[in-house]
Amino acid sequence: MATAAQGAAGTIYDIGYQHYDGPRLGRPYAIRSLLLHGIGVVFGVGRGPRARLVPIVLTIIAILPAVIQAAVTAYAGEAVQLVGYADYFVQLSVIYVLFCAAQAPELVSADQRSRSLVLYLARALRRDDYVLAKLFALAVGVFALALGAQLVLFTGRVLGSLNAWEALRYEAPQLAPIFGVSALVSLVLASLSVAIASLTPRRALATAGIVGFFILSSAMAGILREAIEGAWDRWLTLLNPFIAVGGVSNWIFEAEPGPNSPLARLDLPGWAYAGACLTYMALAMGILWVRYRRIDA
Amino acid sequence: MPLLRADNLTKRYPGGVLALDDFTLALEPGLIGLVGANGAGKSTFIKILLGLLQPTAGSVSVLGLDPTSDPIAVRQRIGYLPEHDCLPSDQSAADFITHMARISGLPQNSARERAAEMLRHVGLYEERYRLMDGYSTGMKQRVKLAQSLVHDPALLLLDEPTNGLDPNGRDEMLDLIKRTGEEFGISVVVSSHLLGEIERVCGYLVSIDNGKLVHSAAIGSFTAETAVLAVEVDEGAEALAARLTSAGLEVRMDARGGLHIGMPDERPYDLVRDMVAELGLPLVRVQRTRQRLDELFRAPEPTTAATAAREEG
Repeated sequence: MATAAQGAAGTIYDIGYQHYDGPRLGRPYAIRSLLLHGIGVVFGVGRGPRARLVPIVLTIIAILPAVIQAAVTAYAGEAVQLVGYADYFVQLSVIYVLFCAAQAPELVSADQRSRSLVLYLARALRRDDYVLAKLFALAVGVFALALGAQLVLFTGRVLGSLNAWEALRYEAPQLAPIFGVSALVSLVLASLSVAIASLTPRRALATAGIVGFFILSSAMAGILREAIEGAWDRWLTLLNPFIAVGGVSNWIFEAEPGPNSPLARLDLPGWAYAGACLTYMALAMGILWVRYRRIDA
Repeated sequence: MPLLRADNLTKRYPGGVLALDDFTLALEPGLIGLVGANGAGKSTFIKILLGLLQPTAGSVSVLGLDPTSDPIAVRQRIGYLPEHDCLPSDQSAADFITHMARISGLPQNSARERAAEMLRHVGLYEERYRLMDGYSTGMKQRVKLAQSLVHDPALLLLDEPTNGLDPNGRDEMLDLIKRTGEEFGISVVVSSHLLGEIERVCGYLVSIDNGKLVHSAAIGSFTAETAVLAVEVDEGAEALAARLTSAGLEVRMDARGGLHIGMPDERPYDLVRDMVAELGLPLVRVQRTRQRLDELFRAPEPTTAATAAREEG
């Protein structure tokens, strides 16, 4: 290393070239690597303290209400119900939107900005692989947030009761819906956010676009809720993705919407909400498909 | 097996621009220069080789594989350096190259080792943990070269690798490419709009103009026929040129009145000496040089439409 240390910056050292004859793991491994890298990006791993700040703060805020609820349950029992499994996402929708709005641009806009997208596409990946890996990276991030909060609630209810074993048996059937709804909310939010972010190389614009989309859609649904008179126009409130997700959540948890919930007066069948969620995902996939077909590599 | 071949390859963009026009070519492994003006079709050709663009017509094969039907297999064996910036600024070179190696299919440990090795090869070993937004253009070009080499490809496609470099950086990059090709046994296709660069690095030259193949031959065959005798006289250059032409030599006069005489053999030396003496001209310089390759390639009478298209591109 002595010669290396003496050399001026940029000097080329002649140590010979070694050919690589180790394994080449191919496309599935490339997709997995991109997915893992993306999950790292979502939580700001290995990218300096500034990149970590937003995901960490939002993760804490997203799980804090569950911690409080768990503590309250431990002291006061079932009587005080601030948040529950079914309405958790709707209550905290702002946090999930902010998380997606902050991290989706890091995943897809940044590669367009730096124009490194072509380096991925010139490797053992297809365009669809790239898109799906990015989408699932954000989905895993949101899923971790959602699942983390739900499991805290779950743990609080089990450990807070007098007979933990009885409580576990009583609560256990909720685990499947917890995973299911967390997966659903993460896929809907991640696909919409990644689709919007993919439209621009500018991160700030992408963030504004994602926040704007969710604010606009819920404002629109709010206005329509006021105007609900007829039989069919309540369906228009499904334009708010959170109404759709919240509806499915209630449906799966077999919960009644609370009196203040926008869902209370809608009284749509569960499959309608589920259908709306699937439509959102399909729409997002469609946008991504068109966008990455056309994008100049 | 040829390194790559193209048969009647044609690419027309949706807008109607004809980027490649009935392009037929077969190349053996080695250091290959791809020369043409900006917009001549070099980048389009490279992207078709990578399977990033689909040709409108014709067929192409790279390392015996068809990039239009099996792009993944082709890309696993190719390294690509794009002509534009393509590096994220908020990562270190070591992290980025390791990541790229993994996307190329290398396991984590091998990826990290190869990344460090390649960064040493391009001369960035000391700086490899710094964030890339502090890198100079020259360092960024080296990182781009390192990422194209990290998976030990059989073929490198380098699109304008000296873009934006100062003369010094240009020299170092060209040396690096030459070494990579000659010592490592990796075939390299280098595109450039500067013939001088290709002449220095490559053993084989492909020139392309308006999407058409102009020349494809070993560099040596060009340099042999490009020997030129440069003659400068203070006055009477026209008279001398006329005499030399009538003696059967190929003479061209440049804008400053210098004469460039084709050298099929040693004969022009004596002829120039005798005629300058006969005419009593003040001789300033007689020098054997090489004609610039780009003059050789200049089409005899480019149509105005073709010239306009080239200027737009």
